[in-house]
Amino acid sequence: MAQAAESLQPSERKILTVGDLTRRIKKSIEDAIRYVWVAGELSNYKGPGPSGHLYFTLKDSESQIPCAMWKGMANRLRFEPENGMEVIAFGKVDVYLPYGKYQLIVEDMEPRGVGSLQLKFEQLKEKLQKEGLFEQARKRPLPFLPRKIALVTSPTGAAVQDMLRTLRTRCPALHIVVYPVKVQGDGAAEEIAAAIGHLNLAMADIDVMIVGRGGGSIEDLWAFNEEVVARAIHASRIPVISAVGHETDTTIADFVADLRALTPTDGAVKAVPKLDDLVLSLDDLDSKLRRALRTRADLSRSQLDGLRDGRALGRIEDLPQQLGQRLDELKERLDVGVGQASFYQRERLDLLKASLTADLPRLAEAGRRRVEHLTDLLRSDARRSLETAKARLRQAAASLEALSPVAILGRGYSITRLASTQEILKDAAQVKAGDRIVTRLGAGQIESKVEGKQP
Amino acid sequence: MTDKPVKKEKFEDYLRQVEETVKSLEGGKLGLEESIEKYETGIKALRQCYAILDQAEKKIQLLVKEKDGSLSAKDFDPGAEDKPAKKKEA
Repeated sequence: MAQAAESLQPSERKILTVGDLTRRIKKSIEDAIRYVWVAGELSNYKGPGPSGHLYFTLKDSESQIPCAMWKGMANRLRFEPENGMEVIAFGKVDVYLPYGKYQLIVEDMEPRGVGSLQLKFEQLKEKLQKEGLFEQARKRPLPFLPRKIALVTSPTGAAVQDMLRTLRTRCPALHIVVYPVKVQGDGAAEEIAAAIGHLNLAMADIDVMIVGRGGGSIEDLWAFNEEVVARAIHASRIPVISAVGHETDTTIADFVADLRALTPTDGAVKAVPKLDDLVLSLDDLDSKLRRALRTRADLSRSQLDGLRDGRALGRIEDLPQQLGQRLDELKERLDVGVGQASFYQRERLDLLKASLTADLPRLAEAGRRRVEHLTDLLRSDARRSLETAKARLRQAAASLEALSPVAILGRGYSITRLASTQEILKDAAQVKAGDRIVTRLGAGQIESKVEGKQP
Repeated sequence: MTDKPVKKEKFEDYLRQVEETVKSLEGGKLGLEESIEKYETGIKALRQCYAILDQAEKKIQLLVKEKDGSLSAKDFDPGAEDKPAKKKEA
């Protein structure tokens, strides 16, 4: 009410300076509150500054208060403060006159369970781990030499610069596509997840993508701890490198990604090989190839020399004498040609010469073996077909014999004819009593007279 | 934007081919003709490696989402590239 009275009566207005007012606020706050215990979540902590003092913010779902802890007190802390930690702080409220700002001067602090964000992190981590999203076995291999790479990150800021610079330095021959996304704040996680999905759909020729951002508070990095981002990385067909914050920051995205990079720059280093190194190793392979072939050619050349000196020739009986002479001639002629040829041609000629001559004894031997083999084959074939023919003949003879009536008579059957007509008798009605009949047996025949008959 | 599906020669496949060729040549168990053949495939694969490095596109693009939801790519000039990194925002 006193306040209202003052404003109503301008003549009696008591005018304060800003300083006076702030001093009065300071006094009333400091008198009213003195020392307190406050529970809250630690955030905005960036580690001890050069002075050794700690600055951070304590917050809960409703409000936040800036805090300072002077070096002497900070040194006595029994734990390492971390953002996201739930703590109880002991201190007094202080109003800083020059700025008219109040803060909590913390004199002691202790952790109080796990901070809520931290808890959320652990819970999601456990859930996804159980589902197998972090399993090493399902991680896609990164391409050895990506030709097209996507950066899912903020198009402004240091992270994208760091990545582009590193990529271009290491591997200038690279097609880089920046997919701009919000990396912190509301909707950031959804944007990142959508970008990963979209790249898989619309740009399937991307070889690898880096998903990340630069350092920040745990709140700043939070998008990379969201389930939707983890799921998108898991579903991506394109291999994903996570590159979030600094070395000390670990996010859920890091666990799901095919490869975790410590920082955006590290992500770029891990994504592509150093082109200069690559060219060096190609050059090295090139000279190794040439050297290996030259060694092989030298071997053949010394074999050829042995051949010319007759050491190898002596062992091959079938090789005609003149072959050796022809080889010598050939070698001489080639030597003349070789003398005039360039280095590379000479190498080729040497090889040609060596391959020709080294192969001759082998060919001769192979030829001889082949002829022998064929002869054997012919001989055994002839023998086999003769035996087959004999067997078939025997078989045919047996069949013929089986069919012959003589053979049937031999088994006890007989043929009976009417003596007068030589008609073969098949029915009793063909004869009458008194007829003369002749029966042919296996051996010899019987003449008889019909005495009687039954139908 | 959708790139045409280009046939992608795999650099690492060619590289592996060269390495294997070197190994088998250095093993010294091949006949001469076979060695020459191997050498020639090795050299061919090696040339492919160099060619792939030469052919690669060198560009930086920024994707822009169009109203219809499709993506288009425009050249990206990360302005501060030559200057020291700006104040860190992300």
